[in-house]
Amino acid sequence: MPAGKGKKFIVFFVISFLLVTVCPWPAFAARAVKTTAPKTANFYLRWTLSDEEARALAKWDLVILDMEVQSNSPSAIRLMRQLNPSIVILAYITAAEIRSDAANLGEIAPLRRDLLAAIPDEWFLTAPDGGRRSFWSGTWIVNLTDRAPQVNGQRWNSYLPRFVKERVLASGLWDGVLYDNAWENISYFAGGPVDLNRDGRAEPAGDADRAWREGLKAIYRRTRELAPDSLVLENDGPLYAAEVNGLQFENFPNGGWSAVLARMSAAGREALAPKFVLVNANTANTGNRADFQKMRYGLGSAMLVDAYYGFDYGDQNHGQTWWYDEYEAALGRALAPASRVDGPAGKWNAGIWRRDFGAGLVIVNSGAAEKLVNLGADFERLHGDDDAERNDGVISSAASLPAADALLLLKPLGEVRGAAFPNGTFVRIFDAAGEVRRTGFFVKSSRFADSARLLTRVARGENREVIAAEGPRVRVFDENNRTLADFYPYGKNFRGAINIAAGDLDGDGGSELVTTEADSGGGRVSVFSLTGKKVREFRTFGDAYTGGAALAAGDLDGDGRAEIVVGAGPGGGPHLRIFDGAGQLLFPGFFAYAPKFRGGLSVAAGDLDGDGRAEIVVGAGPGGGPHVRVYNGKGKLKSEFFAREKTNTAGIEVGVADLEKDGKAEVLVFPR
Amino acid sequence: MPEEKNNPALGKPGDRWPGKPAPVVKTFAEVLREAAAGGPGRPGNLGPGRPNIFIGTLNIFAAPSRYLTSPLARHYGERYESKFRFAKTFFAIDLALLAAALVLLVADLALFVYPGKVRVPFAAEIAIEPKNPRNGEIVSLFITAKNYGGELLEPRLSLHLPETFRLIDFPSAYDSAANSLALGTMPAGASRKVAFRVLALAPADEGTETRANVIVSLSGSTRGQLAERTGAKEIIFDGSVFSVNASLPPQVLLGDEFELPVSFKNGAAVPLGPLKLSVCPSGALTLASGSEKCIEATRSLLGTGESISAPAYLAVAGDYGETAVKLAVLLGEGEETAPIFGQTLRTMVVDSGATVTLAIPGAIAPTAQKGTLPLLVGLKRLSVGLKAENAKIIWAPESGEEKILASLTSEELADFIQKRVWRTALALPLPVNENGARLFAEMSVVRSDGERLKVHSVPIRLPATLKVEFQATARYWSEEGEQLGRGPLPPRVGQKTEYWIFWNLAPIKEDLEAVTVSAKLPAGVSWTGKETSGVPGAGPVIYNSFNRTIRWSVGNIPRAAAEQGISAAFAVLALPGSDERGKEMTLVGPATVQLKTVSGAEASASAPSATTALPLDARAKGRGIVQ
Repeated sequence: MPAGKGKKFIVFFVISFLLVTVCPWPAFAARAVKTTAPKTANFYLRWTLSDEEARALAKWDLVILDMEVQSNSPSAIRLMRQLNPSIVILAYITAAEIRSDAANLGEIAPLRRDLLAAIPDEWFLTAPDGGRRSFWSGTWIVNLTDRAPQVNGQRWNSYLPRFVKERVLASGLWDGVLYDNAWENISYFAGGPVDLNRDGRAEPAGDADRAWREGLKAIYRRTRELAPDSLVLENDGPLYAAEVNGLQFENFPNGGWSAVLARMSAAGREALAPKFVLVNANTANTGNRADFQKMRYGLGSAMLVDAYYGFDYGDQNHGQTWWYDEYEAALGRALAPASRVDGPAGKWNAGIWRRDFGAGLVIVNSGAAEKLVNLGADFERLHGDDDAERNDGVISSAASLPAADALLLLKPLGEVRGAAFPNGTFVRIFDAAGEVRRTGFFVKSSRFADSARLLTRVARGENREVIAAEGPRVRVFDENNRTLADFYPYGKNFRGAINIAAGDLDGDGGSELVTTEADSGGGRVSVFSLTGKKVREFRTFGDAYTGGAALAAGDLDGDGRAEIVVGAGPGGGPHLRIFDGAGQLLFPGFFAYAPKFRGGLSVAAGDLDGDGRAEIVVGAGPGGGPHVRVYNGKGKLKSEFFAREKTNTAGIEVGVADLEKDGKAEVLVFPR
Repeated sequence: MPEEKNNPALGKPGDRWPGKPAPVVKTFAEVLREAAAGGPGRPGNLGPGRPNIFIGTLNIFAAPSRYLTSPLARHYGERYESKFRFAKTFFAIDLALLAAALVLLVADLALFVYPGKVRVPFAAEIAIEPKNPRNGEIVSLFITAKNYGGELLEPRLSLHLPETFRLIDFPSAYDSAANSLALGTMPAGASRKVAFRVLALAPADEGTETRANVIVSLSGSTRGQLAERTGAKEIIFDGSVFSVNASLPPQVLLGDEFELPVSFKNGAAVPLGPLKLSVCPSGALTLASGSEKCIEATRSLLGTGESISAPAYLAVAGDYGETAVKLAVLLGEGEETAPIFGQTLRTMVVDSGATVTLAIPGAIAPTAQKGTLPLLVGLKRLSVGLKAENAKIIWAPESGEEKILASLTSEELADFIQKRVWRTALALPLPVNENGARLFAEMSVVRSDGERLKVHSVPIRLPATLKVEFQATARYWSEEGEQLGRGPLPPRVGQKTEYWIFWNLAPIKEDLEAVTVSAKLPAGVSWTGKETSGVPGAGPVIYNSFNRTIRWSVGNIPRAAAEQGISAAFAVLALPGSDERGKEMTLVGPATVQLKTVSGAEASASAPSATTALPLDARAKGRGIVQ
């Protein structure tokens, strides 16, 4: 390489290095983009929010709120974030319209009032005769083009971004903004010729439209420049996708399914990272929440292109918190792009489309006729009450799908991880409210005898050790089936069952093994390392107690250290106590059932609601009905239900584990 | 007694009948005269009438001097005086005869007491050495022949030994065949001495002295007269050189059987034979074989120090009390057989008390199905005294039924064989309550001493009639509506549908030793490998693809677990062929359960085939026809 060229190369390299390392890039690390499906979005444009609404809205992954909420209900926004730390909250603002009565809405809409007050007459879009143009009743269109007269050296397309930055985003309550009115042309929305430069003459439509588009782009660009850490989205303007972090497609499937999917797909490619493609389907202003097919169709279609999805009343009323069973289907990450299964894909040709995810799949029938879809394997329908006929939990390898419908299906569960269970039993799966969450199944490891107690410890989503208690013997195997420990906690001659639990008792990131005798021992709890070394032992009930105990380990207070929950076994009262890992009594306990009940308890602990703190789940032993109770870490009853027919008094065992890997554990019930 | 003296009512002393006339005292002659004259009668009569012996006797005590005359005087008076004129003569003759008889009597007595020495012409005397030999010992006989009279010509000596004695050594001149030993002419006053040595054998009972006589006869002529004199010597044995090794326990129990080893050792200095050892139980003891009275062992020649054995297997089958075994050793054969040794072993047959046991081997397995089952009763031991009356074996289940197996009369008892077996049959199941029944044998006997005895065997427990409720069901949905199965429902030709089969045993109130369930898979149905059971520690449900048999075995289920019910489940995959179209398809063939309780009862039950009809699956009902 010639000497001159070498020097140039070095200079180029150094400059590039500096640019890459020094120049600031948009930092969106605080806001993790959801990668699992489904992604939910709510277009909620009420100007005030109650705490109840905030709690409801907190379930969504992305919520669009009117900018006035920051003034009227800032605590609601904070509550939403508190309940759902990963939620994305965008402020809604119109890019080209302003309410004509905004001056009178100072109390409830101060931002609009201030905006209106800041708009000089010159900035309104007028007809050649000077009359203000309006698209939506009660609003005026603002001229966002560069041809609008400058007032105080600025135009609307520079004022608005600064307003958004200084008056909206500066509140710290928002992750970004969604600009409405992403019109691709003004000639249609203005309803007539427009005089962009106030010369009394109308610009040609094409010219006006071009200028309009440039004006919008300027608004998006300038907003991004002024608030590089904020998301900038727009509503229904795929033309501008490359200028924003994403856009919302309203009134799905506006323009036909194939066209919408094509635009959504394109927007997903063109938008700036982080990309947010939103789909809003609605009842066409009928308010029929129970139009499940329409809801599913939109949701399924959105899932084909990784879009966020919301279903509400319609463009006349965006203010519902309608929650559907499908929103809770934890399908996981997409495994591959969507594909058409009944013909050539083309450019999103109508037909049967399928997309597989880690824990299930979605199928969409965008064709004109119902079709029987062969799934190629067993899949489980959702369990839900919204559309009981569809969401009946049936496991099948085929599904009949009507036209303009979609179906979310889950891969059947087959193993229990993260909860101790008796080998060779049938497990039923509930949510904290007692609703059947997933179809139950027989769980058995052929490596161990029936009724051996097994526990597969899970850490960071991966299987770790397998702990097995068979008779008097406890063994621990690593993920490669190598034996880590093989010992007899209570001696080889011990005749009885051993209850096991595992948890990080000391907060060091590892786990300890906790055992107790199921039918005797007086509630003596033993703590071992996973290699079988005894760490400590302590009694949990009085010296007079000679029965057995059930136990669980879970982080009840969210401090990173698991507590030990101990319940009296058969013969003892339904007494439940909580200890720390060192054996110190933290909570003297309470009676999980009527004090006279002597069937013993089964206990489990796990985070059922994803708040970082485990709940205590209790099941009644023999003699009691299949009664499950859920308590918080302080003994407050949160919910209860019967897991089987109430007259069945064989008793149950319970477990808690996040089988669906969605951050919320399920209640597992094992019949005795 | 002063009162007696002064009491005038009592009369004077001597008056025994105050107030009554004193008796008239008459002489005997007066009485006779009165009697001859038909007078008042015999003495003692107080007046006319029949003589009164009682009063007369009393009269003797009242006046004895009047009645007690000398016997001679009375005799003379009664016999002669009143009848003969020659009374005195005859009386004198009687007296003389009487005197002569008395003299003869006295003389005879005197001679008897003091016999005079009888002078004999010659004699033989025997001396033995040792003086008190033991049985089987060699004894020397020293015989001395003495001539007291004139010259004794051709004196010969003969020795007469007991049968069991054996001549060991004798003088050379002794002709053993003729039993004659010529001594040579013996002048007057001469004596000859000869010696014999014999093996002195004599039967001896334990503890009693055994004697034998050796006799020697000496014959010869003296003064032309042939005469023979004998001499004898009694040998009193003391002990025996022989020994028998045999002993009975001091007590035996009725019904006992045991071996009595008997061996006889020849302690004599010479071989003996032919010899026969016999062991003869008597009384309550018999030979166990029952067919012989004695057991014998023979030996043609038993050397010195050698032994002969005859072990006897004895049975105690008789009365209580003392019983014995007689041991005898006989020497010789045929008519010359003589016992040389004898011993009686004794023992007592005693009552065993309450240790009579009757055992019932074999298993009793009542089933829920009707039928009969042979029941073996093995009598291991009879230790009850059996007497002349009957002996009964009574079966007594607690239901109250009785079964008399045998009623033995006394004649039958005489031939009673040990370890007799009775067979009977019971109709099952027995009507017992839920706690079961106990079956035991009861024997009632009447002992020889009249005591009645009842003994029971160790009872065996008959469990309650096992109600085995067994169900084999197929499911696609659980009772709670959870989907268990996979695949199309109704099933379709050419497509696989998975069903779960449940084997359920209703609660059983027993400790179970083993439970086995089995069934076959029909064609078109395959094993998935998914299985589970509800019994802690139970083994898996296993499928044998070779014979298409599904099998589940579990053992040692305690009652507490069995009362919860026993169940297992497995999944099968049905792949209907076109032949099954329009029909219900069999998923699993009829299942059979066999169980055995710890107490030994066995039971079985079966369940019909499980089909795609799924009658117990409410959600799948009506969806069993293959499409």
